[in-house]
Amino acid sequence: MASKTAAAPPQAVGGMSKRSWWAPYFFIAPFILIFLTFIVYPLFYSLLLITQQTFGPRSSEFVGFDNITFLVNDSRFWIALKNTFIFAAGSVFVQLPASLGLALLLNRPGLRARSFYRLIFFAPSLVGLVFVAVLFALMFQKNTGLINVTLASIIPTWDVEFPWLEKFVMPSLIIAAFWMYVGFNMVYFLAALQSVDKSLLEAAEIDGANAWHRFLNVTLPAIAPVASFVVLLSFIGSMQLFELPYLLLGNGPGPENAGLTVVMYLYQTGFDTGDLGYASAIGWTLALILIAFAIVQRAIAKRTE
Amino acid sequence: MSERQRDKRFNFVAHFLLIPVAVLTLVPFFYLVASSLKEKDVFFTGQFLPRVGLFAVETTTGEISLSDPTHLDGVESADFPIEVTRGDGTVLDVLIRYNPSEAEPANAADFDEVISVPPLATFDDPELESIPGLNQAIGSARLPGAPNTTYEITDGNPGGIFGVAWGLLSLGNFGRLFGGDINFGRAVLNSFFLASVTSVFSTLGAAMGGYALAKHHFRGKAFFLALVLAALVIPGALLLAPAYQLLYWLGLLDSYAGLIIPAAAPAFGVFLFRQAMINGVPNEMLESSRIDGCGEIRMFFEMVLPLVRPMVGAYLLITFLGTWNNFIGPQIVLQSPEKFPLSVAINQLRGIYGIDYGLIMAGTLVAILPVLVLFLMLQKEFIAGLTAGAVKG
Repeated sequence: MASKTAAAPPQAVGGMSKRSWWAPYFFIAPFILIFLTFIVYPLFYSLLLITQQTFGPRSSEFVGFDNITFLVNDSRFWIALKNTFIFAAGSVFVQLPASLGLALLLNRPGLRARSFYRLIFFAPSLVGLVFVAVLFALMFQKNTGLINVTLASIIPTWDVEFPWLEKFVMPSLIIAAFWMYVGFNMVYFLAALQSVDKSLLEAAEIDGANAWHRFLNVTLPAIAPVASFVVLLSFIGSMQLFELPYLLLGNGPGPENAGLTVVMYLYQTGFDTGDLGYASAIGWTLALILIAFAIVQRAIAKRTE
Repeated sequence: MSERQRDKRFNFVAHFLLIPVAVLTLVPFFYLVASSLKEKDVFFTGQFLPRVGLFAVETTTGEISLSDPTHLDGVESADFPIEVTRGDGTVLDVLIRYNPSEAEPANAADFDEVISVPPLATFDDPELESIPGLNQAIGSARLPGAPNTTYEITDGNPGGIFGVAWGLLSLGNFGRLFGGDINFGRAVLNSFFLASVTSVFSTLGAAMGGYALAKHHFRGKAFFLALVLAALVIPGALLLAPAYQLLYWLGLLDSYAGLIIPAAAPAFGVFLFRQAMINGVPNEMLESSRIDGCGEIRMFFEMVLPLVRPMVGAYLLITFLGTWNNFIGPQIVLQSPEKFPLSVAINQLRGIYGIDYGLIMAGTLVAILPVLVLFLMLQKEFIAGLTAGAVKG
């Protein structure tokens, strides 16, 4: 990850007399103020909230560890967590390999219309999640949705009434997310591929390594740091999935909570039911999962370096 | 095999794989545009683009049939008086009787109650064939279930070029979006205001923080840098509930300030600007201008920011995009509909108007078009900004 790069170079000596002592504090002040107010304070406050049951922002009641014990036994939460993991797995194991594949194809300098392809593949990631949700809600419709109609025109026996958003909620979400993010991650991989040492590739080729072996032994190790960073980003992003299912399924979790995700559940308990305490308990569980994953990712990244 | 031959073969294979993916990627965009051009009545009658109206006339036999009976769900049986106008302007009265209980519900064709329209000549008649407009809508009908809706009657053969009835496409959805009681234009302005102000403040705050961490020595610097990095891992969802409570206490709910202030000076931006300034701003330059008596604030605006101008541009763009597309923030903070940006307004369209897909698609198109245009003009800056954090590692 980029965090370890470039410690500040030694400052130039001399000319210190004119330097104003307050300048660095002045420049960092907006960040510190906002960071303390809108991140540090809410973070600690959310810890406090876990011990409370709230009824909207106005009133609350101390309940001790009730929220945590309730969370452990809350089947809806576990369904939400399972759904979220399925989606994250779809992103990491389906979408990222596809992104890498596209990047490998587009990395060849001699390929015609390279920048044109890149433009097309990248365009969906400019569309916000809300708008993707609205668009795909229509495409997955029964009867008139594009996907059913297209399938019906290819397979004569296809049932145009097929309810994608009831029977295959998660796959539908994974398809929508695939469309949206595959080009976005492709750009990361393309940037990484450009840093692969060309002389190493040529040397391997002279030694008789075929394309697959060159990819496995030269390219993959070279892009591993960026790849693991993209996996982390993709996982963190997927675990916070909310807008896509929430809007795709019409402001709700879909039939039998099939589309319920952790953040959607958090949103519903916190803002529909008004229980910010339980929402905080859900939020901290998610945070711990993400932090654990980040630590594991860093450990693996360090070992492979 | 020579280098050239291999390049050729690679190109062939690559295009063979890339072209289908590119087409599939473009399909939702095309669908969006096509759908936004369909009026509500036309929406269910055609699939990708409108083909025919609810009723169709078979031009060779003159038979009129229902082309999409799903519209009539729940109708026991009905007579439809239909006014059919022939291409030459002659009005022909026609009655269609629809009775679902008599029909086999196996496929759409079984629903068709077919009557014949004798005066309508076949296309063998060269005179009729030459009448313009006969090939498009040739009449209209009103259904008992939807008395305010008029359905076009077209000939059975799908309209014009590529078999599409282009005449049925209309900009009516956009008219309804901006005129009348929805006032989508307000949401567009809100989004522009919110995204521009947020991106300017956010860029300024991030650049200031990055500058302090890259080019100054001060007490607690290492600690602040660690804070910046830690902030990157905290999931935003965790902060939703307590930040909502905080905004309530601060009296910032239902105000743009409640969205703009927390977004100013984000950790990610501070980190990006620090990376850009470490090598992009030479220390010697800062020192010599200090010796010349340049003030710290003037120096920041007149020297430091211009030196990292590409980063400023890229960061402005990605913050603009992020704010434009942000849904959960405005959804939680804002309460008055007249303050909603596009992302929230789209969802409202859905709630109020049921399944008026044409309208919703028109709204979505309006919402994403500015961003796509901005991207086409400034692609390099966009991609530089998005990859700036990752590539250097």
